[in-house]
Amino acid sequence: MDVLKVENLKKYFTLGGGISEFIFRKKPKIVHAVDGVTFTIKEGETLALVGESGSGKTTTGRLLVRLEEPTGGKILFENRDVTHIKGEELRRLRKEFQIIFQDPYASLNPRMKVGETILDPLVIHGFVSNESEGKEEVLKILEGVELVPPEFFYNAYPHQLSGGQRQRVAIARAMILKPKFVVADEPVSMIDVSLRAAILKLLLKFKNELNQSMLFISHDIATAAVISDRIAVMYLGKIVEIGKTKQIINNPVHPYTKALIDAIPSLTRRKKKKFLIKGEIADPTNPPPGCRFHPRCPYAIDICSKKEPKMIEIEKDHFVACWLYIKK
Amino acid sequence: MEDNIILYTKNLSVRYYTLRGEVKALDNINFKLIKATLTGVVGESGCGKSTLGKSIIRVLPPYGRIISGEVVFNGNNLVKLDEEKMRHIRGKEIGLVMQDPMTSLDPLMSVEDHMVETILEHMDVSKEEALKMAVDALAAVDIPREMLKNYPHQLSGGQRQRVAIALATVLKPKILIADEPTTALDVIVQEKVMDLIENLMEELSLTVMLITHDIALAAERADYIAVMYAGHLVEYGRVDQILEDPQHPYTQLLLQSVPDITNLAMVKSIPGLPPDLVNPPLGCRFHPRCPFKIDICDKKEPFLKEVDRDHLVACWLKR
Repeated sequence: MDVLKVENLKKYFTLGGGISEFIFRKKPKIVHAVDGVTFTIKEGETLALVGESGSGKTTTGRLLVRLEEPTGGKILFENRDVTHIKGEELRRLRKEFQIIFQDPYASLNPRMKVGETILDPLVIHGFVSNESEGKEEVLKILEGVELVPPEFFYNAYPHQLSGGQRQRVAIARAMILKPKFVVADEPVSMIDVSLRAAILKLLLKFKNELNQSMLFISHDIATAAVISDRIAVMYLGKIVEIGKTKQIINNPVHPYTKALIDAIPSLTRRKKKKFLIKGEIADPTNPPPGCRFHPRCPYAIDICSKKEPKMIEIEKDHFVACWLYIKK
Repeated sequence: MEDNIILYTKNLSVRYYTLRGEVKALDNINFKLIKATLTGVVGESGCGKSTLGKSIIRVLPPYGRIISGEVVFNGNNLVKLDEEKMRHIRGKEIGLVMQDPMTSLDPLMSVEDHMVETILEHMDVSKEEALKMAVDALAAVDIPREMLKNYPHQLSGGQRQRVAIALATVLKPKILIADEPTTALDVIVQEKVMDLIENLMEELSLTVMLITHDIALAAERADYIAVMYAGHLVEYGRVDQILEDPQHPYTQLLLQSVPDITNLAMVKSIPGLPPDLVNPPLGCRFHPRCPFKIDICDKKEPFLKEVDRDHLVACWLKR
């Protein structure tokens, strides 16, 4: 069953609505951060969203948990349209979907004890009315995220903890509501490499226990590959390729995906000749026409700069948006 | 091989004096750079890899001090060199590229100003000659002449880092210390920047010290790898020795903790946390996290010992 269905989702940001634009009557610039993405996530499935900085992956994640208001498109959560719900309705829904942020130094309130931080969602959503009612549950989840002894961590403040421990607190805070859907936005990119695997395993543990669906956002396709069932590759606000993790890693078809996978350093590919592409990601206020990747693509043909390619299924469950694979 | 050593450190120890106390950032580091090769210095944050790079060219922050040891380059001990002479070594003999080019470039200076100022500071040439050198050095990193008048904010991250590399190599130094030069960049741009560094190595027969947290990047690019942990150098060897036959338990576990695109198996993590260097554990600093700890490990510090040609490890198990 599809827990989440996203159709043609868009988010445009307006840059510079400031005084100088007003005085000089300049037209504000529009950043096409997310520009028509479509995907589904099944029950118990992890979809990884990968791409370079500026590709729109974080904005997509924030849209899904409704931290941003979509400019267009639809978000269906368990077949219910939640794209524009507001107020009490949105608040009730929030216990079903949670987000874990990249930076555990910024996402925790430095003045709140760890126990209070984790307890807060239970109070907000009315599961408990005061600290003493919820304490036991908080201690249990602290143990669940391997912060032991839990009594010590319950009374600790964030500054007493390491980055990895803070990220465990952020996970506990998200998981205490037993959400059906979780967005994990680069949850290990600020954690030391020797501690990353433990955090990833923790996410998998909760996913399996609660049969959760997850959107795992990462710039590192190798990390995304070890944790995900499927991978979607984003470029300048659009998904260019989506498929099962093995399909994407072993048989990437979009030139951008190929370049991305080839560029990742690996312990086993020493001094291999790589498939390289030129240039850097374009300005999202003025995305190139046609396929947005065409200025960097070594295989660009005539049509690529004129018309945008549609998603086609190249093998079962494996979709790509590239003119090279569209038969005329 | 000894003749090929272009720079080495001998028992180098560095302390940071902070409000929390004295941080034992580097302890008795014996490290070397082999001429015209790339040495990757890897380790996690706080292991001292950046401190080592900064100590070599003496650009430690004001609260940091080299308390003992030597850095030997061209027969000179750089630790004892006076500041005037050291200034000629920096840039001219040893170049430095830092992680964030947005902070290492002056936002009020154009690319041309940066380049020309650096050249005129170290060389007795006319402004026209300096400009010509600048254009050549920029061309080597694929920055076209038209960008000379641009300011740092007008460049992309990759372009800024390439300008920083041109700046560090325009005086044709013998050694380039690159401290996480690609960490702020996307992977595709990272590849390009690393390719440029390799080209420069060939052109200038440059020796490179690549400081990185990304052991896979070092695995692909380095000739030698030095693994650091908590202010100690724990293993040093040729890249094939480190990757295929890692000797130190930390190196072994670190290699298993890296997700690899060619192997989708779940990665492993190392139990515990790196120690606080104000109060580091006695003996081997890895012993509290080491699955193979023996009696002596928490009592006496192991020193680097050769286990194979070029391959050194600091571990009691290897005695």
